[in-house]
Amino acid sequence: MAIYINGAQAISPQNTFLSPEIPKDLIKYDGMMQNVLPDFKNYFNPIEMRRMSRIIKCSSAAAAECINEAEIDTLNAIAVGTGLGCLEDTEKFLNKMIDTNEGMLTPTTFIQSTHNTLAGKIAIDYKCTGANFTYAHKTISFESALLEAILLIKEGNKNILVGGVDEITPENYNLRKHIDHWKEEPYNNLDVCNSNTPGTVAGEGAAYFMISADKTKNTYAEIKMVELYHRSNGISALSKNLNNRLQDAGLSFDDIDLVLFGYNGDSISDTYYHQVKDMIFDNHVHGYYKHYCGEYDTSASFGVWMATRIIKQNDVPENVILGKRKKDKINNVLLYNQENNKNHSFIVLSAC
Amino acid sequence: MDSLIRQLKEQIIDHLNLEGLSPDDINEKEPLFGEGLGLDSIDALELTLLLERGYGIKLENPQEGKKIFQSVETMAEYIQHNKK
Amino acid sequence: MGNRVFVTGMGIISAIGNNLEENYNSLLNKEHGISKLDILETVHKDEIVCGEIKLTNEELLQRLKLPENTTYPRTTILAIHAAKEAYNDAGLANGDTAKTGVILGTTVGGMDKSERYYRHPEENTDFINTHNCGYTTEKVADSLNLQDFVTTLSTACSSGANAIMLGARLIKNGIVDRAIVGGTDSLSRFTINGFKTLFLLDPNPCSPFDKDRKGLNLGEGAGILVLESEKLCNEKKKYCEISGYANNNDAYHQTATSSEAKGPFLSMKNAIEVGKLKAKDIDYINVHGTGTDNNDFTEGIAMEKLFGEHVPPFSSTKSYTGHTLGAAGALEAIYSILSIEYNVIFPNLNFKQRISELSISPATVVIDNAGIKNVMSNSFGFGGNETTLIFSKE
Repeated sequence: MAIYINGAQAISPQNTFLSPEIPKDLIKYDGMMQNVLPDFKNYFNPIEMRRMSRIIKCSSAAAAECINEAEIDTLNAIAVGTGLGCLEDTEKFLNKMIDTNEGMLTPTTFIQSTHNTLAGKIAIDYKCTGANFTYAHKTISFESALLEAILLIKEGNKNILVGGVDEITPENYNLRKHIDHWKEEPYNNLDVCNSNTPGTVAGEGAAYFMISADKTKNTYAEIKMVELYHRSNGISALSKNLNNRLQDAGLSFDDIDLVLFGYNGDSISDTYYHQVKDMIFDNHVHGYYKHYCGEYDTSASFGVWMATRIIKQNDVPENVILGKRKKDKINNVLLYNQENNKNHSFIVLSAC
Repeated sequence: MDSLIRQLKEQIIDHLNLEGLSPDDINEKEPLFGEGLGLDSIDALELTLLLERGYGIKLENPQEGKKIFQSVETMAEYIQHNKK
Repeated sequence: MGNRVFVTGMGIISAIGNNLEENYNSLLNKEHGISKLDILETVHKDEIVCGEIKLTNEELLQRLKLPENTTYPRTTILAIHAAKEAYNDAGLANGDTAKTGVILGTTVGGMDKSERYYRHPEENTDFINTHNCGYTTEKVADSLNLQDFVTTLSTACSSGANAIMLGARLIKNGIVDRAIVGGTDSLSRFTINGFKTLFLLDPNPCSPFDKDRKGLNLGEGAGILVLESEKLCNEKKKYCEISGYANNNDAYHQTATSSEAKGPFLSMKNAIEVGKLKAKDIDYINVHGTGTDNNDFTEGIAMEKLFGEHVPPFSSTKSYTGHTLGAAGALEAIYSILSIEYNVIFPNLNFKQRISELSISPATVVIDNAGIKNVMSNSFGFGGNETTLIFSKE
């Protein structure tokens, strides 16, 4: 059974929203990378916005444009991945609780703090009474939602909206400085792949995809494989497992025209990408994307957005390519993401 | 009464985070819920807390709010009678 | 069609017991676990009652033979406790090679540590990495030495039920052969204060489906189930089959269910269809039954709409454990399965008078030899997230 991506829209720290192609000029950041925001007044009225924090607005606007683009009759279900959910609302409630010694609290930020606020809001807006799932598992939150969509299509659904949404707040950014999560400032997002220093660059984003059972004129790509390994058990086991799964999808390693790596600039975590690059995909064309979006739990969703544009335009922008190798025709893109040698995810998208 | 109504409108805009609305956009005679401003049960709780913290009026049963929060005017009248 | 999915092991810790047997005995003897707080510190401790597990983190760690300086959040400790019992109960041991998924649901994750150290990260930075929902799932996987597949759902009060549902569907679709599934949540000041601002806390032990119900009691706990495909558990003791499941959204409001109860109706109806059953086949419903005005009324409306004149016996076991949020769906799945295992219906506590708009009332005494083949368990949550599971005697 073939599964297609019929809509793909991303709000990100770059000018990606509603863009048919990958922006050639990157916005440079020397600290945390935050979303380039659209004019939300075009999407929501003031009454509606009273309970929409920045992440909820980004999520709902990206979802709206994705649904719009896909031109579907019915939305059957929604699956959203978010590592930390509505962080700003969580922080507001937590801070007020501490500041007032559990005194002057109000319900709104508490309600908004639940992870499934994002998916629930879209269900209300589109009167979607079908399944509504929110996955919150660190760096595989988005991939889990994607896997969910594949199950839902296999179970007979036609159109599933899948999102990857997270936000970075100044407070969380400062908090994670205590565990040396980030590079020392000022850093440069454009240097993600050659910094050779520990720590990553902070990012965020809201990317939505329409995962559908039918191919249409709007189809970007076909999803050939979504494979997750909590632990890899070493390169040879990983290589063998991947080879088997690619074969199940009617592909081989040789068919992969581009491997998009989740390099995030952290010299420790990046060694695991190097291993997979050098030992499994040594002869392939390599690319990367987190200099566009920064690192966050659902950053793989930005990678998938990028892959939809690469396949549709048959063009890999210069600043996406890692190394010197190139290829004229890009049919099959494999995305690889991981988190310090845990939660390895492999997604294959194919032109169709 | 007029100044209380004005103050209430400002507080409602602030408490409910109605960014982009001004006091003049709210008609004190129009319903706050449903057809009028379009508020819902969560807003009712926020307004209950506004009464408690802004005017020292504690509603024992949140259901009482239904009558009081019909409009800005009914709210103002209730506050005038019950303010401590 | 897909693989059939069976429950072969269960583990539980809640305010009414630290294992399966203790929980079962409490339900049978109508002994609830709702009390004043002894362990969690909050300024509201004199105003509320909760379903608190009366073991400190240190005592729980001792029981698990983990070092006392372990910095796991309470949510994680509870989950490991239940997971070890479930794994043993299924006759499994470290080193088993079947392709296994670990899928949990939680709402607060490591919030108990975050709210304690948030303003003092210099004292302890561990909470920054233990706050997220996925942390617990990975620690459970580590504790059982499972490496294949992990993921976590956070869909408010239906999280645990949705984790069970995903495990069953992954096995059905051949993606894994076995799944360790369930839900876990500890009490926290964050949730107590949150529900307090919503005026949803009953200061006394809750009375689900009663006319004068005043709200819910929060609780804590973890429930873990071992699910296996038919081919893996051919020769084994099986508690039951997971026959039906569905998740639907009410698509009406963030916290309240619509008065026509569209979402709850759909999830019950669709779960029955997935199970290829008829409404009349359901012998008992373990209802969501939080004790709030809105939930019990709308859940009742949905049951009357679906079952007509023949609503099966039902009860809310939240009157024993409190509402354990992300764990609730898993605890109640286990109680539903115990109901099949011992052919008994557990009573709903504190019920006095029927809700005037409804024509149904819950079971209030233990019903033995209840002839139970199919049990339905409802879990509804914020965001209009409604899940129904159906367990069937083999």
